[in-house]
Amino acid sequence: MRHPQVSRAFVLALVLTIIAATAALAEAQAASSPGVLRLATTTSTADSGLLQAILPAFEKLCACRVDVIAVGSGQALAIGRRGDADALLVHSYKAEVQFVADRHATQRHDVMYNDFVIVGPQADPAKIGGKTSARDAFASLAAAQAPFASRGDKSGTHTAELAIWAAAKVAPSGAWYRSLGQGMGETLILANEQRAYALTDRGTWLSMREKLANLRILVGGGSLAENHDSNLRNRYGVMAVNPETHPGVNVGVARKFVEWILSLETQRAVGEYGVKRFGQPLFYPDSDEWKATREVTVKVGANARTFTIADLQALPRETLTNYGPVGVKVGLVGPHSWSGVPLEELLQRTDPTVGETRHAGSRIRLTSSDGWTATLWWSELFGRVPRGAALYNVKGCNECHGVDGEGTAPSGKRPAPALARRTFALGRVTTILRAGRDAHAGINPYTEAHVSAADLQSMLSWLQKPTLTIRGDAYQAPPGRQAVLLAFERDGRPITGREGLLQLVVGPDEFAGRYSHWVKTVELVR
Amino acid sequence: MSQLLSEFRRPELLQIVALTLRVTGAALLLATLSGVPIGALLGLVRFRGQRVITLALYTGMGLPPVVVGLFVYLFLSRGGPLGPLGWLFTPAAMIVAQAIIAFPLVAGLTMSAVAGVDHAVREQVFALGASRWQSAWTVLIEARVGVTAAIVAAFGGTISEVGAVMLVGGNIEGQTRVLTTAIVLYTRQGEFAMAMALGVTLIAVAFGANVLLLRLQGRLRDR
Ligand code: HEC
Repeated sequence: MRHPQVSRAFVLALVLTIIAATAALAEAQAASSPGVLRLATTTSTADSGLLQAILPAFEKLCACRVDVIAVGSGQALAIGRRGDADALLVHSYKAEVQFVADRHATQRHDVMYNDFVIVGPQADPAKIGGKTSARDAFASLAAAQAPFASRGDKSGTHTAELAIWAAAKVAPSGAWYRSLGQGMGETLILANEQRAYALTDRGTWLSMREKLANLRILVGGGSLAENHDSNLRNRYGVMAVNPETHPGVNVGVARKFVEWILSLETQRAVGEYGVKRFGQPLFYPDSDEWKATREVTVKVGANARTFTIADLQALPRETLTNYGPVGVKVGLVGPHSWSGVPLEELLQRTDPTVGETRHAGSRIRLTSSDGWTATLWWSELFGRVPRGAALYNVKGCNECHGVDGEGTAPSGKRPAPALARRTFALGRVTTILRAGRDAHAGINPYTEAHVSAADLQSMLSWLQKPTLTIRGDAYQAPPGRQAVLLAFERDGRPITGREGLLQLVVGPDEFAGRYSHWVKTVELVR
Repeated sequence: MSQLLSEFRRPELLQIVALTLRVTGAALLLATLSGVPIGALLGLVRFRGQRVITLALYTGMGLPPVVVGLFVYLFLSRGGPLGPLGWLFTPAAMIVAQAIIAFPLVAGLTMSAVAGVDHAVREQVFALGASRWQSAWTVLIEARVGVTAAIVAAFGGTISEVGAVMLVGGNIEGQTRVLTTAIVLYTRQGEFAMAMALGVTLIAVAFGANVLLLRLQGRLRDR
């Protein structure tokens, strides 16, 4: 009645199960050991091949293994929120800030950026090709009811897409709007098949382009430099999950990872990835350390001089104390003291004749390593300027609206409209400035203490006819507070932890004027 | 076509296949070792509440795997009750999920197979004075064809499953990437040739495993 083979099979099965279970357990144990970093990230960093290219260096450095969990940014953040990952590399800025606010991480760091582009069928039936604003393009798509393939998965790209629809004041719905709940690749493939439009990050587009013959880029141009819409900027951040909120995480390796990916060497590797294959980088390095400037070049006509931080430290310095709060820039609040070298000093050391009146009417342009520029008038440093003009600068309006109120479209920032030669109702402008935030490009409100009604009036009347000829009052800075510094120290310490940053600080007044990070060049231009 | 062939030479393919077999194999063993005895018991004895259990098993057979995946995910997540094990995003989590998916298939189909064994056989066994265990064993042997079919069905169900393993495994290269999740990945990237190669491999693996199981079944039947 007994079946020896079958019982043998049974025993074999039992043994096998025990082996399998032990193996699985051992594996699980290994996975949660200190030698493993669980990195939850977006599909774009993994699918583009970037992580595969750069991670081996880290694995060698930390003698550990990195387990990459590549999902949409929304899911990656959810994984982090449950403490199931040690570090996150994602691109959903607002959600990342929220993540930090909810104490799932202590800090978020910029890592890199690239851009989104709008792709669509070769024939472009909705005629959006060549538009420079994603918002306008989306509005046209909605008006034409052109088929649109949306990720629909709460990923960083989907979040960016929704923000553009919101900016275009469209609530997309209807048969033309296809919410897929899929990854970038699937979405592009579907758009290619169905001749639909889609928003994609440029990296995924470049790496899949050959498979998408029916599509082309319609908004965003051939490279990041040709993309003029800051809504299409795609920022990646890195965060180590907070061990206080999630005691199980491998915080040691996670911190090492964050430090490593922000380091100069890794940043360089990030910027070089893909250049050979696609003729352009897929990601642009963006860490503070990368942007940190170690020297500044000053040019006046044919004369040029480069000052290292050590050179600057050897020059006579000036200090602006109790400077702030800086109302415009979120996050830079609080009175600080800044030490640095006055800009006049640097210009004069480069060309001793720079102060001669033949230069009146020139500009001094400062460029940062992140491409941001700030402009001053020569007269601000070496002469006198009308009160309205000076206030306009001192209050920082020029940072966005341009030194002459001409309006700007800086890459990576929201373009600001021209204000020059326009007439504004004082009441309306006051409302915009005092409200701030959504009413005004997302910046902090300018309170009465920052900009008084009288200040505003004199700015607006100057803007109607912006010249540097002094007709009414000239600007008089409060005594002892006039300085335009290239600062390298804040509160007595180097501005960044390691290398030191150069920042332009204009502190002539009760409130911050221009302020720019990582100044790389200072140039006198006509 | 030649492109497809060259994809088979990619080194990761072998590793993916090995992991797939390991995970599915372990899950199947766990499901078999628990599902066959329980299924046999349910097929043999009558007790109160049996209908409810039967119903639960049959429902389990049709349970969407992603739902299982979701539950396993929440249980194994650091915030969940089994979080301290640290199993999420490891093969162990995938084995657990697949075993849970396979269990109702094995138990349910075993139960029907055992219940289908001729009543006369059972009486005869008892009449011969066999102990309870011996008789249960004998009936199980009688039902071996159906039991093997149960295991074959469970194997097919688990090896081709993607939603749950993707969720709890995380599709980590070299760690938790199995055939199905790799197919999803390569399809997403538009690498259809590699996806196809993996698909063909999956079919081949499933086919091979079924041949093995069926031969075993044949051997059992011939005896
Ligand atoms: C951080 C950049 C930034 C700064 C600094 C800034 N603005 Fe603006 N401003 C904008 C943007 C961008 C808009 C367009 C509206 C929007 O997008 O919210 C705008 C709109 C305006 C408008 C409405 C323009 C119109 O066409 O209706 C006025 C007026 C204005 N700003 C005045 C000022 C003044 C005065 C200051 C300085 C006290 C200032 N802004 C500082 C970015 C800025």
